[in-house]
Amino acid sequence: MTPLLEVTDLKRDYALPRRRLFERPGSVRALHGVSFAVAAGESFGIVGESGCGKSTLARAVLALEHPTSGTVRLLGHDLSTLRPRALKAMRRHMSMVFQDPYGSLDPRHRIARIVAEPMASLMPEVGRAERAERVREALSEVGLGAAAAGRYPHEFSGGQRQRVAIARALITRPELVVADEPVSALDVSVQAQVLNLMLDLRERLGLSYLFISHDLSVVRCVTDRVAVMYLGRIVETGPTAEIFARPRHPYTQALLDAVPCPDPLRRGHRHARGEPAPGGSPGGCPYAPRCPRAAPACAQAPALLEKAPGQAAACHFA
Amino acid sequence: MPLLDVRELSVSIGGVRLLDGVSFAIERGDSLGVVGESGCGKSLTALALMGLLPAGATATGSIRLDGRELLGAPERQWQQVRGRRVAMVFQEPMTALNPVRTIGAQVAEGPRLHLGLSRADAERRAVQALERVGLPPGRFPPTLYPHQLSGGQRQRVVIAIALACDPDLLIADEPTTALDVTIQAQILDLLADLAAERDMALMMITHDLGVVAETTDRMLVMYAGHVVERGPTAEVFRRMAHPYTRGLLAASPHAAAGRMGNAPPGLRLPTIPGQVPDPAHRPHGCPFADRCAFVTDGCRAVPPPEIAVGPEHTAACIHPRSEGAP
Repeated sequence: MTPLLEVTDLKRDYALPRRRLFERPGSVRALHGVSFAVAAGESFGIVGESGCGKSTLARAVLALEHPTSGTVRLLGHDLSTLRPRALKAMRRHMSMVFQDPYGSLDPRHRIARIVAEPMASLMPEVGRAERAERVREALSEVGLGAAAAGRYPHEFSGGQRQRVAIARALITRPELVVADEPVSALDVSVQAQVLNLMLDLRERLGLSYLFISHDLSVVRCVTDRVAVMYLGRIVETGPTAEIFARPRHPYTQALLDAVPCPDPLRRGHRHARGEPAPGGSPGGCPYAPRCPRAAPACAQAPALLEKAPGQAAACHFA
Repeated sequence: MPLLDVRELSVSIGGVRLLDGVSFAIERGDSLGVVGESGCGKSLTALALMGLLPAGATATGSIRLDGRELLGAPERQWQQVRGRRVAMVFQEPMTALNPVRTIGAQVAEGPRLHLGLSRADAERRAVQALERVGLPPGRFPPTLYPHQLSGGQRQRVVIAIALACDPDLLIADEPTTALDVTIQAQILDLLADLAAERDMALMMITHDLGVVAETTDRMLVMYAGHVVERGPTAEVFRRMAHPYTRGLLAASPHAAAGRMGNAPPGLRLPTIPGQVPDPAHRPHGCPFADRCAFVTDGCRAVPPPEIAVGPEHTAACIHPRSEGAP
């Protein structure tokens, strides 16, 4: 069976500004050959710090970025080779929930128009009456009443706005929802409500999530499998519960150790040194400059190899 | 006499009471955590302590620093306190710094104005302050501009500015919310180290119970403009007497992830039903009554007083929880 989403050796370079007029512009590689697959109904998490390439990955999966090399296949179709019309037809199968519920809803549009917009653009064959019906349905799925349709975004709290954004993502009945930090702008108690809603929707509608976050605890709560990214590479991947219980890559261990633990009796643990920066020996392990276990062998880049059933890490010592 | 003594501080804006009778004290060298969600009044408290309340805000009560009353003091008196004796680290290092001035000049500004140092002395002091926060002059010369630094490095500059005049009290308002988790851990360690080595009082304002647990000795939990629970951090976490404190911990994914152990994903998080009450229409009695699972008629009658539930540990609840924390 083909997976719902299959990303193979995805690379993406960005051109740097030219310093002189006739100079060849330099480039920076945001993704260094990322591969993973998401099965239908599965929730896959991507964690990593700012600059690790997780948002570039999200944009590439949604065909908002053209990959420099590698492929993104959704339902077996390679998105980068599709003609514009065929790509547009594929877009109804995928959608996105953004981080900031204040910036992602047009303040001048009523909720009905905001939620219906993907349908208006991607499924113009659907009539007005059915569209209104689908809007009502999507709003009730996310726990908002039909009365919400006639109101404006400013009348809603942050958590309710994120519900509107989720309703908009569901309106075309997609198989894949890409959520880029969907709860990081929300308060703790509201965060829990929105995460529970996402879990409910997944069960009811059989959705797949590509869930991107820098918050490991959030990823622990909503994903089945997870990939940890560092400077454009996946350094560890596997079942979420396994990765959290037995992290193998030193970077994953550092990330888990750094989360402040709400227990005053368990203070003071090891903290990662430095900041993510390209450095170290060219062709070597990207994490070596910060790694407490770095050794001469790390001048040779480790491959992402299976270390336990379903769990792979890119480290010589994992 | 405590370093800072705040009594019955209330702040209203446009006739709406946003902060309602908040009292607390901080001793020299003490660290106090203030935790709560958006709109609970924690940032407004910090602004009141800095004399930076927005125009149109009226404050009543008392704010005493070393016994001297600051509330209602003339601007000249505030200028001798703000930045000199009480300094603040803001949430957004991107917006807290001036993008068109060098980091050295921004750190030197305080010593020049408050301590009357010469330009050369102030610059030397700025280099020392930057070095202390982990920006040695070799790699980070004071002639750099903020855009040449990462978010974590910018937050270090903000901390250097706050430290440059050796304040007695450092207020950190969500200092790590905009930062990655590994950088957050480094910045929290740095703040704790600095407070300890200078015998400086630290007030850590955050929505994250994990940050409070890691960095503070005492804590306040705020809800809807009130202090609902207070005490030594270890005591508050051990007991969690107020239902809101419990709800906040239970709802946090950190705590849930800890409880899950090897459980498969998909477990629902416990949530606090309802929403924070609109400040203009707060209930008459306990502000948490409408969302509380243990509510009785008595809760809605009068605002609950703070009652002692342990050593130096109080909760504003007439039905404090007694069994172990969740």
